[in-house]
Amino acid sequence: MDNTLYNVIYQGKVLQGFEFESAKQNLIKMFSRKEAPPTREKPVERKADAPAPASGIKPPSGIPFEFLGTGSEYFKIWLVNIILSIITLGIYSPWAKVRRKQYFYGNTHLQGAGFEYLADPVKILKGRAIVVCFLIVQSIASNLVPIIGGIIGLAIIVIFPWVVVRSLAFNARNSAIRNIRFDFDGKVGEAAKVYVLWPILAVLTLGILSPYVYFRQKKFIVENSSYGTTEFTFTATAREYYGLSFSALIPIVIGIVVISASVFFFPPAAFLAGLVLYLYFFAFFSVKTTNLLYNSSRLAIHRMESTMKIKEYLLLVVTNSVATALTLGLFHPWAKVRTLRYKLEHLTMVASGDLDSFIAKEQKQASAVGEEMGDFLDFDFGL
Amino acid sequence: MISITGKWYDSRTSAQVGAICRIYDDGAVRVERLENGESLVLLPLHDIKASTRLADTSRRLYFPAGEKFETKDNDAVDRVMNRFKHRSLPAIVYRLESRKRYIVLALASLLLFMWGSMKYGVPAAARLIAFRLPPSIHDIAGRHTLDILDRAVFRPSELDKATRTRLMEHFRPVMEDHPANKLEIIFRKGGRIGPNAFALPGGVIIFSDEIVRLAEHDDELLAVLTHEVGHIVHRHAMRRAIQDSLLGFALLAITGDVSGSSELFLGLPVLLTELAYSRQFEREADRYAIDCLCSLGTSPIHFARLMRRIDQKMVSKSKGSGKKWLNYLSTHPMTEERLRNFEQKKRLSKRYTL
Repeated sequence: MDNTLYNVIYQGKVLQGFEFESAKQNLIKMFSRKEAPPTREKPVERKADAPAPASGIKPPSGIPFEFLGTGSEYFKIWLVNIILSIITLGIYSPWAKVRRKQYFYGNTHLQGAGFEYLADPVKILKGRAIVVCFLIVQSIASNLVPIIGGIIGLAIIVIFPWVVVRSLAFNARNSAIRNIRFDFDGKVGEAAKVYVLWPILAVLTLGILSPYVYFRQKKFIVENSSYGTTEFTFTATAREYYGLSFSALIPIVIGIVVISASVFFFPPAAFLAGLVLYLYFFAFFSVKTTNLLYNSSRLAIHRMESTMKIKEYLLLVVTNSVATALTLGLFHPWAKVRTLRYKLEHLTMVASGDLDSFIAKEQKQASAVGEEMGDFLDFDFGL
Repeated sequence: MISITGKWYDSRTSAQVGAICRIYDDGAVRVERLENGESLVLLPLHDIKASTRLADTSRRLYFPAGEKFETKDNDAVDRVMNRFKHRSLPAIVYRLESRKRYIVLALASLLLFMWGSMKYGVPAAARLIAFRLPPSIHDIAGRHTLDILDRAVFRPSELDKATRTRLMEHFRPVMEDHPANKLEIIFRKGGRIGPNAFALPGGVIIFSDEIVRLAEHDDELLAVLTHEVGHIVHRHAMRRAIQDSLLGFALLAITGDVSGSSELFLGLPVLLTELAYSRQFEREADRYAIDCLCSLGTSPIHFARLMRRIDQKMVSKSKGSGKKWLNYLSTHPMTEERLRNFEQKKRLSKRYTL
C-alpha cells in the first residue's frame, strides 16, 4: 500500500456532512482493500541526534501486563460470594463465578485496556442444573439397572472431547479486551485425539509419550484460539517439552536419594522432605510450562515473553500454602491474588507496531442446541 | 452535565481512542475525541447502560452499535447511574462488598457456618447417609478394604486352631446379642501393624495375632471386641469415608477452585478435623463397650489393662526413634483420658454391687 492510499483511507479528513466511518468504509471498498489498516508509525519529528529508525519498521516494544487487584479487595468479593451462595443454597454460585472472573479479568491490564469477562450467569446456572439432573438420573438408573451405569460411563468418555471444545469456546468467546472477543474453534475430532486417544497411548507406553501428549494438547488449545479474526500460532516443538521433562530428572534422582536416606536415619524428616520435594516440582513444572507456553505463542507478528523464576515462585507457593493452612483457608484470596500478580508481572507482550488493528469477528449466532448445552460446561484449562 | 474521561472502542477494530463521554442532564450522551473534540457518537436521550461496579475495575458504558467506552472513573459512572435511577441486583452486591460492617458480619457468619458444619453438619449428614445406605454397599466396602489390607499388610494368622475356637466360644454371647449386624470375626497376622483390632464396614472384625498373644485374659479380648462392635453398630467406618468426601466437597465449595492445588496445605485443617472426628468415634465406641461389658457382667477394667500393655509396648519400641511426636497426630484419644473412663466405671459398678 503506498503512502497516498494509506493517507486517504486511514488518515484522510472528511468533508462537512459526511460521516467519517462510512466514508472510510466506502474508500476501503473502492480500493478493494480487505485487510486491516497496516500498522503504521505515526510520523514523529525526529530529533537531530536520534538514530534514524530502520526504514519505517518499528522495532518491537515490550508492553507489560499489569495486575491492579489487591488481596483485601478480593477477600471481600470472595466472602460475599460464599455467603450469598450459602444463603441461596448454591443458586447464586454462577453469579459468584462470573463476579470472581470479572474481578481478575478486569484488573488485568495491557496498555491501559482491561480484560472483560462477559459470560451470562443464567446460562451457567442452566448448564449446572442440567448437569445435576443428569447426575441424579444416572445414579438412580445405575442403582436400578447396573448396566445403565456402564453405558452412561462410556457415553461420558465419548462426549468428553465435545465438552472440552465447548467449554474452551465458551471461555474464549466470553473473554475480550479492547472490545474484541477471543474465539476458539477447535474440532471435536481433533480434541478426541489429543484428550482421549493420545493419553491412552501415553499410558500404554508407560508415560514415555506424556510430554508429547502434553505438547499436543497445548498446541491444540493455542492454534485454535484467535483474537478477533487474528489467529494464534504456536512455535514450540515436542523436543522442547521433552527437554523440559528431562531437566527434571536430576532433581528427581536427588530427591529420591534424600528421601530414602532420611527414611533410614530419621523418619519424620522423610515426610518433610517429601513435602518440600512436592512443592519444588509443583513450582518447577508450573514455571517451566508457563514460560514455554507463552514464549511460544504468537498473535500475528506480536509475541509474548514470560520470565517466571522457579525460586521466586517456589517461595510464593510455600508462603501461600503455610499462610492458608494457618488461617484455616481464610488467606486463600490473598494467595490467589499474589499468584496471579506474580504471573502477570512476569509477562510481557512484545508488540511489533501498535495493537490498534485487530479486526472483530462476526458474532456467531448461538442457535444450535449443542451450543446452548455446551456453554455451561466451563472447565478451566489453565491457559 | 457529567464528564467522564476514558477510552473509546468501535465495534469492529481494536483501535483505542482517548475520549471524553459527556452525559447531559436531559439524558443525551456525546462522546468526543480527547485530542481534538471531534464527535465520535451523539445520542439524544440515550438510555445509558453500564457494566456493574466491581471493586475498582474499569467500567464500561455500552452503546447501541456495539461500541464501548472504558473508564476508571467509577464514581462518575455511579453518579450517572444514580442520576438516572438505574438500580440493579449487582449494585446491591457491590454495596455488600464495600461496607465494612457487612464484611465483618459476613466473616463472622462464615466462621460460624464453617464451625457449625464441621462440628455438627458434616457428622450429622454422614450419619444420616450411612444409616440409609443398603447393607450391600457396606458389605462391598468391607470386602474391598479387607482385600487391600490382605494384600498390603496382613499375613495369614499363625494362631493355632484351639486358641481360635476357644476365643470364638468366649465371644459367643456378644455375637448373639447382635444378630442384625452380621458380625464376622477373623484373625490375621498384623506384621508391622502390631497388636490391634479393626472393624470394617459390613460387620467384619479383625484381630491381629499380636493382640491375641499380648492379652493375659480372654475377657481382655472380649472387651476389645465390644469396642469394635461399637464401631460397627454406629457404622463408623462408612461414616468416616462419607465425612472425608463431604469435607473435601465443602473445601472446594469455599475456595471456589483448588485448580493447580498450589494450596496443598489446605489439607492440614481437613486432616485435623478428620482426626477430631476419629477421636469422637473412638469415644463413642468406648461408651458402647462399657455399656456392653456391664450388661455382660464383665469388668471394663479388662479393656484398660490390655490398652496399657499395648501402650507400654509401643513406647518401649519407639524409644528414641522419633516416633513419639506422631502421638500428637493420633487418631485415638490419649490413652490416659480414655482408660480413666473404663477404670471409673469399674469403681462405680463396684459401688452399685456393694
